[in-house]
Amino acid sequence: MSEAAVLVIGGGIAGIQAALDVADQGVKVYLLERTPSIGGHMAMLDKTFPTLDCSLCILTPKMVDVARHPNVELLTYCELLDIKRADKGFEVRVLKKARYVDESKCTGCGICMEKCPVRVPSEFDQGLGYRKAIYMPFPQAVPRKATIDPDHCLYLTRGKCRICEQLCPAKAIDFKQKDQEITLKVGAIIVATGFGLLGVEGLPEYGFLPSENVITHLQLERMLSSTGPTRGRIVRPSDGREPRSVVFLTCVGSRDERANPYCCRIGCSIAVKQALLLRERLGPKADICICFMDMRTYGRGLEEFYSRAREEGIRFIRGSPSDIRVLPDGSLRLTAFDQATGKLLELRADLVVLVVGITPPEGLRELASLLKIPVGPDGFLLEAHPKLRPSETPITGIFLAGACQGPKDIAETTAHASAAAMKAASMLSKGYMVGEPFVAVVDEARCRGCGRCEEVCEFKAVEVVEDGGRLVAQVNEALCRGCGSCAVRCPTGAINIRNFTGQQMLAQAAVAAR
Amino acid sequence: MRPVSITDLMSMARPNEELKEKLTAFLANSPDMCLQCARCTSGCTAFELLELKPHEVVALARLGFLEELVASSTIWDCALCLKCVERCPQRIGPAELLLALRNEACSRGLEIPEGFRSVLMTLMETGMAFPPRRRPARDGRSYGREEVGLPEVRMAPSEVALMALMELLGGA
Repeated sequence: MSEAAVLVIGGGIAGIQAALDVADQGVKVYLLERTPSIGGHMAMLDKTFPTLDCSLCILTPKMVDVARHPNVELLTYCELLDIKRADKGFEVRVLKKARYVDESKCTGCGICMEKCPVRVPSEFDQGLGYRKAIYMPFPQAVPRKATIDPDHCLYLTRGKCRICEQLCPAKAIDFKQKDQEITLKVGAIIVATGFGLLGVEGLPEYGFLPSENVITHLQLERMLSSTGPTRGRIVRPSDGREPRSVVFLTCVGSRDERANPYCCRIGCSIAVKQALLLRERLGPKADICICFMDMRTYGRGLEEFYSRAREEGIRFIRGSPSDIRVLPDGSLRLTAFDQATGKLLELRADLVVLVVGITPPEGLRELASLLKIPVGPDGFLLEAHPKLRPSETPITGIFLAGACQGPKDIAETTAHASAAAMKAASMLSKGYMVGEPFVAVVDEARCRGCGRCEEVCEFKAVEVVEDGGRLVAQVNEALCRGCGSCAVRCPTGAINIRNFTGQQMLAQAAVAAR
Repeated sequence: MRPVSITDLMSMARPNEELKEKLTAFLANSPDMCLQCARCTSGCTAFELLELKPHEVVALARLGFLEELVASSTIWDCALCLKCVERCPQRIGPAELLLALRNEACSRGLEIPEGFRSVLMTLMETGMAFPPRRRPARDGRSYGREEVGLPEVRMAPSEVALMALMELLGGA
């Protein structure tokens, strides 16, 4: 029987959904998140396509549900240090970073954030707004506790200030707090680390633009949000004026051999959604234009969504702009070849929005090597089977939820996360595992107990033990993944993969060459 | 009118949004809805005659480059078979757009092809686009209306009807 607990890595919508579904089946869940609040990218969005539901309105109930669930333990502002295979599952070391705020006392009143003298560009607002050195990333943060940023706090960097400590009515500020290490024992791990956004520095046609008026779609999303840096007002960052013309560029770094060769799956729908939201905010007089390579608004309700955008007079131009120049008044001049009319067009825009590609999140490769799970050529985690086992990894006990397995929209993410939760919970409740037949077997007569197999085994499945007065290798079939490293390393040919012995391979080769 | 932020860099032309609104007002669907599937062009009866293909006409109208269309000979080459109207998946109907463009060209007093002019003259004189002619039958012989017992057609239109028609078409 495995350890009856699940670790969910990542507190975005995938992690939240997976944690809720596992916890509802009566299994203990640890939900690990590296930022001070759960919520992830979905919390940054203003509206979701194609229904234009308010993103936070549908997300916050889930965030509160997961935080208050008796079977869920939230580990926010935590980093994963190490994962070891223990005999019944995994032993996980987690670094709980010091918030310098006593979570049991902090009421989230916000006085400290009001009075803190240090302003820092807000990560949550994508650098468009500011937060304080003591902060909550956004007003609906869960847990609703303040965190002190040790890199910017005046007291922690220069030994002065302590205003928050003096003003906190709950006496929750604790500058003596230290980072803590926690060890967890879990039977299954669900990876839900989400995605990152591509930087455009490497693309000569978009990079190095000396203009604040070229923004990413996520920055526009923050601008659209009523809790964002502009309280929902659409402005040109350079001068704060309302833009009269906006040009969207889709596939920025996507379907691009220089950056992401793959499609980001959601960019077209994001552009259509944001164009419609801009039409609503800027009125019928605004000129809104989407330049695209292909319009891939696939999925239920999305073709109709695209139709609605055309009805509402959003311009669609098939042709990706190449030259972007900044004009003296801060507006931008783009040239785009319109394939439909065969004309080279000049577009003037007050604001240019880059719908940038989706990348694997930072540190995913390191996490994958820690978990010993495979990574695909695109850098996302590889599922056990592309059709039939989409939320499992080849490693028993490790499951995938959401965009860490490849770009997904919110609906696909929640479905994927629920599937991962079901797989994890059913594995734990069954109490036994069904292994693959392809595992290492030791020919004890040939084995001389040198221990090289034990050294190379990534999964700690081989162990040299004493048996009847001599040393001999022994395979734990539950842990062995049949990778074959030991068989290659063994100097006497005593260890082999069942049904994949050297003799069998040679026989196959002989037939193939006949 | 929304601000026009597009320029055709080859002719330095700007889209004419006002004209676009006027000419597309009576279409079942605006050319904005066009997905450029080019089904209209794929089945076009007059394909070989057309300098600009139907889907290109719609694309130009969509962007608002209508001035060059009004002046183009393409709009007069359409056979009005209406296949494109029937088959357009977005119900735009390029043929109807071409009719709107012809009307605009006429109202501007632009040169229209000779064939159309002679049809127009016949219409004015007889009240019909084509006067009744003898038609060949299966036996190889030609028959006139009176030979098969059909009543004679009244040729000259009444003054009143002509005036009403002119008014409907918006003047000379």
